[in-house]
Amino acid sequence: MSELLELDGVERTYPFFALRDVCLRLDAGQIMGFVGPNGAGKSTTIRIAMGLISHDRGDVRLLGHSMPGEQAVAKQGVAFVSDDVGLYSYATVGWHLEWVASIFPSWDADYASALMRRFNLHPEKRVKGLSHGERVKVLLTLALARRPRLLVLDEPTSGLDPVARHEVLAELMAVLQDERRGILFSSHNTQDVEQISDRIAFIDRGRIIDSSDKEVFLDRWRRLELELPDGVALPSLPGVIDVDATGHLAVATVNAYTPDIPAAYQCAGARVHGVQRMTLEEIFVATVMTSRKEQAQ
Amino acid sequence: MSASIIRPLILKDLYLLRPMMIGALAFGGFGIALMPFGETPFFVGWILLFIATVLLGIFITAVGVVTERKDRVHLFVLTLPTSPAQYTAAKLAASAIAFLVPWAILLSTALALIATTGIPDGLMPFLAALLFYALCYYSLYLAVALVTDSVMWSTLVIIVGNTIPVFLIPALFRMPGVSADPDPSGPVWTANVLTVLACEVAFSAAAVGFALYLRSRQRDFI
Amino acid sequence: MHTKLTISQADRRPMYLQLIEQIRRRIAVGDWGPGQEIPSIRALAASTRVSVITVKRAFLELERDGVIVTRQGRGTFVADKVDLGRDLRGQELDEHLVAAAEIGWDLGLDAEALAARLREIVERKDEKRT
Repeated sequence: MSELLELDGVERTYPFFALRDVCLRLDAGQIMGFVGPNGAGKSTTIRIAMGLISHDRGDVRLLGHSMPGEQAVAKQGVAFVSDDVGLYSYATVGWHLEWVASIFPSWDADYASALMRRFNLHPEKRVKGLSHGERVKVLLTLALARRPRLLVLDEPTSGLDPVARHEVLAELMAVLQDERRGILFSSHNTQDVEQISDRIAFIDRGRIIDSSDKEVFLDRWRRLELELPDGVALPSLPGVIDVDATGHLAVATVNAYTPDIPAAYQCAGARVHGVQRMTLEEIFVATVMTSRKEQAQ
Repeated sequence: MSASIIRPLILKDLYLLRPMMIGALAFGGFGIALMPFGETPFFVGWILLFIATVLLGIFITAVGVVTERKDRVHLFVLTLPTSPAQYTAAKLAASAIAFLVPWAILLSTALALIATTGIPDGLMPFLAALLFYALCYYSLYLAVALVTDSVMWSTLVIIVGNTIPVFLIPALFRMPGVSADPDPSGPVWTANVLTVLACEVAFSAAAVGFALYLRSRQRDFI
Repeated sequence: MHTKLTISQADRRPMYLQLIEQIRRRIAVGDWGPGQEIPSIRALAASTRVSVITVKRAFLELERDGVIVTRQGRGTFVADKVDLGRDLRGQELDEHLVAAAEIGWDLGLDAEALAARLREIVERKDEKRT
């Protein structure tokens, strides 16, 4: 079975928000980055995948098990980390490690110790005395040392300093050395998502607005810097989703780039000053803006 | 495999609730120890015993259910191979054990003490009804905690729960069978008393049962 | 075997191109000799903290250019070619020139304009060196 997670046509309605037709698929050996504005439905989607929230319509399969009914079995191989998950305040970090170790036969004690050292955590410290970042690191340790087939992470690096983030990303990539394992993570840090994701999904206002291989995303999008001499009008071209023209200069945002596009502009009399690739953040913002415009029409 | 997660969950809760169980036994035990030594010591003794069982119920629920949800530790437990239903079942079982075991020990010890010493036997049904009230109080607080995060509701339960004894205790003294008479003429365990006990048990079960029903209808475990 | 490659976040070029350049450099300086096995895609992805799909893309292009060779079930190896070092640098130059030509075309420069620009830059660099 190569699908670690599958959401098909998932819907859930709340008084002021609704998830509509959410489809996600994570194959073994892949990392999927899940990006969306606040309130877009990232956490809701992830919690539906984990069986914490029930869905109105659609299919959810976690490690092949139907959710939320079979979640107890499914979660033997799935670890979930979210920064709003708490730990027992008066117990120590070490107690948590021992307790979780006693539940999972796959627990790797050596790896757990190595992670503790790398994350600079002390087993005798009580959870009460931990900072937010330290608590997240403990949760990550508890998740990683179980060696789960699937890791589901909701904002795993939020609140972490750059050094800790660096360590966490290294550990996440180490997981992928085993091609049977996979990771789904949501993040606002588009730089991290851009760097380590194999697949990326964008969500806004309860809908998946785009989902693709990362390299395809980065290849498809360009920003063209154009100069328009007097009297020149830009033709409307397929693949160009926005043209921002002021005075004699214009910027065209393209989401289906081919070299034909700047050629067509040149034929129309415009000068192409630059063809820029776009960062994932820029692509994401442009995608959301376009989607919202379309929804409003 | 699904059954095997419930045991670690229960044991973990019992481990974390150990201090409360031991505290209740110590505090209540001290109260029981005072009882044979005269009227005033008996009076102080049963008050301590009553308070011990009431506090036991409140702390078990406050620590085991309320704080766990406030600190969002219940989400952590749900990252383990378990479902919301299993979590609730284990929570209920652990909570019940943590309360009922010390409670039963204290109740039976107190009753045995009364039966075997010079303390009037008519005080047995009184103590029993009182401790069964503590069971009601605990059940109601647990029921509310299982269903809602609302501080308003739990505060209401505590206020009501602490006020009822003011009326309950004098009423219990007036029941047939209950008396401080060292030489009771009739049976101690009268129908009235047994009815009161049965009602208290029924109320406890109904409160928790209703809470479980409401909880089973909740769609989101948050 | 030296497996360290570095991806710079400040470098605006696509990550797969950076990887290709880094791998070519390793081979050119002799750290990865002809016929020698190189780290697997996943091992490289983990050590550089870059997605597997990006490393795969880099490997695909390097294989297409004959720089590396994948033997089914055995791993990936540097191609057995004599004098790969010099050849590789030459190929690297060609790659850069192709990229420059593509950008020039996007900007509407023809071959002469591109050559003129290159001459300008080389002359400026020579000035700085003296």
